[in-house]
Amino acid sequence: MKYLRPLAFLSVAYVVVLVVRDPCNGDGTSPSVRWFGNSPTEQVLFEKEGLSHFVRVTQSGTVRRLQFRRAGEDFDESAIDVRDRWQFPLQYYRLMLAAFAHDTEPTSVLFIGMGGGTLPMAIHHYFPAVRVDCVEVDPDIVGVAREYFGFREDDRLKVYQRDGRMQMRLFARDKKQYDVVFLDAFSGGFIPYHLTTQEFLELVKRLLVPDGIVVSNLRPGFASYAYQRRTYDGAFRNHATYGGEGNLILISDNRTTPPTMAQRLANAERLQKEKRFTVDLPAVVRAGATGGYYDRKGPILTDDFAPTDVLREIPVD
Amino acid sequence: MVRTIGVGSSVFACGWILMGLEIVGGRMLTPYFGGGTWVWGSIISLFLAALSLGYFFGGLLSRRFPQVWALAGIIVLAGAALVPVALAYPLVNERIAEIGIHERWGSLLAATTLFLLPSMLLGMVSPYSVRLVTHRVEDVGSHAGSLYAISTVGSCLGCLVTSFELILRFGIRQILLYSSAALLLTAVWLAGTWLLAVPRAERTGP
Repeated sequence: MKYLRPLAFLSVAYVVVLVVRDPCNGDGTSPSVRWFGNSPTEQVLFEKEGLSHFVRVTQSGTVRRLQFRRAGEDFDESAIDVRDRWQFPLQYYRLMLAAFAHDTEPTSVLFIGMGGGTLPMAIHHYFPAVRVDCVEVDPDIVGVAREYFGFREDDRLKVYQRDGRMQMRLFARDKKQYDVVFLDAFSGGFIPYHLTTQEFLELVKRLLVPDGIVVSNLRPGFASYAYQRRTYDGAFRNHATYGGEGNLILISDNRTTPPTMAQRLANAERLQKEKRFTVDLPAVVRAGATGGYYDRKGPILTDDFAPTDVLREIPVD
Repeated sequence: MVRTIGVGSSVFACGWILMGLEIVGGRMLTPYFGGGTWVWGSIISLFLAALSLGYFFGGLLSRRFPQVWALAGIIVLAGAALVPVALAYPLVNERIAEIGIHERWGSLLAATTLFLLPSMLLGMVSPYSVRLVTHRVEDVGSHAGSLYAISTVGSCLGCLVTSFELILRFGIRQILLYSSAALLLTAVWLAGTWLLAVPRAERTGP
């Protein structure tokens, strides 16, 4: 048993090296001073170690934010303007409304990841006849949405508290279908890998009516973006993009004749007159996307192989 | 000496694969039961339950059949048990997820279905190997200590290498099939090294 001691020593030494190299523990500064400093005007309304995130609600001025803390950073997941809840302080909400230029009269929509519930509430407000189902994994988020973001359920706005993919499987089993599926499940700056794979998108397709659309919030700034886009390319025929800096909204469907740019603009203008969004929807549609380029050749994400744990951390230039 | 190295390295390999399996297990269940604390809690507790069964029955069996063939056979069985897991895990998870029970119980049931047998068989290896290398009662403590230490170092490295490297390079199914092949080779290696050398203790009789 002579070789035991060196082996044990090596493994302990390896663990020590890993811990020392960890950026969160590495430089000896107290994280509470170094990373989590609040801006002077920011007021913390709520903080809790939730089921899947460290959740906090803060307010600066009239803007109230829901944040998840990961790796020493607070990521904005949701925000409302407490003076006027139909102003959308986060850009990606405005972009996601572009979905209605693709489908002006949906009867049912599904949200995977609801955050503060801002967008589901807005859709419920602007399209009162639409059935809105939300799936949220974390019970604390549902509580926070009710308490701090004025989220109210009724017979046309429902929350299912479960992992997104698992709840979708149950919906598929029960043959539920939707006109629009919004994918907005984030876990502090990244999408959990099981909500990005080919198998997942097959499940999304089972939940969509034949002309249904899926609206995804992607982050083109990270290496995982190209993998996600290629995976969508394999699952859907048509793709339209909006935004591009920070968040890129991808709208995909399998229609035989997807709406042209002119049709989408006409839809947006008609809806804008009818609904009077605080957002200039025709401008969003007209602007389309900037950037968001990716290499069309390369691996896709599957349940078997999804190295997004590293990809999400790699920024692309 | 050759026998000690054979048994020691086999124990190391089994420890490595056991923890590699546990890490891969998390990735296997996540698409079906979510990526949260429940999935990890289910997997870790199931592995611990399976190990305790393995230790117990491994110890009993080693009393009944104190031969290297039996241990090699257990390792072969563990490797063979991984093949259906690798091939059928999406189907098994799908079926269990569609029952619609809470993620907690779904993930525990799936973890049990997939991992109870292989991890129990791998749990038998350590007590069995203690029996094989020990001929005098005074040595039991030190041999058991050394073998458990080696096995746990293997587990430690298997855990790190699988989570830091293998998952990001290979698919889950590939890792499972490689693990299965590695277990078969381990069994051959164990039996081979054992046959190669006949220690003094056995020349003069136990």
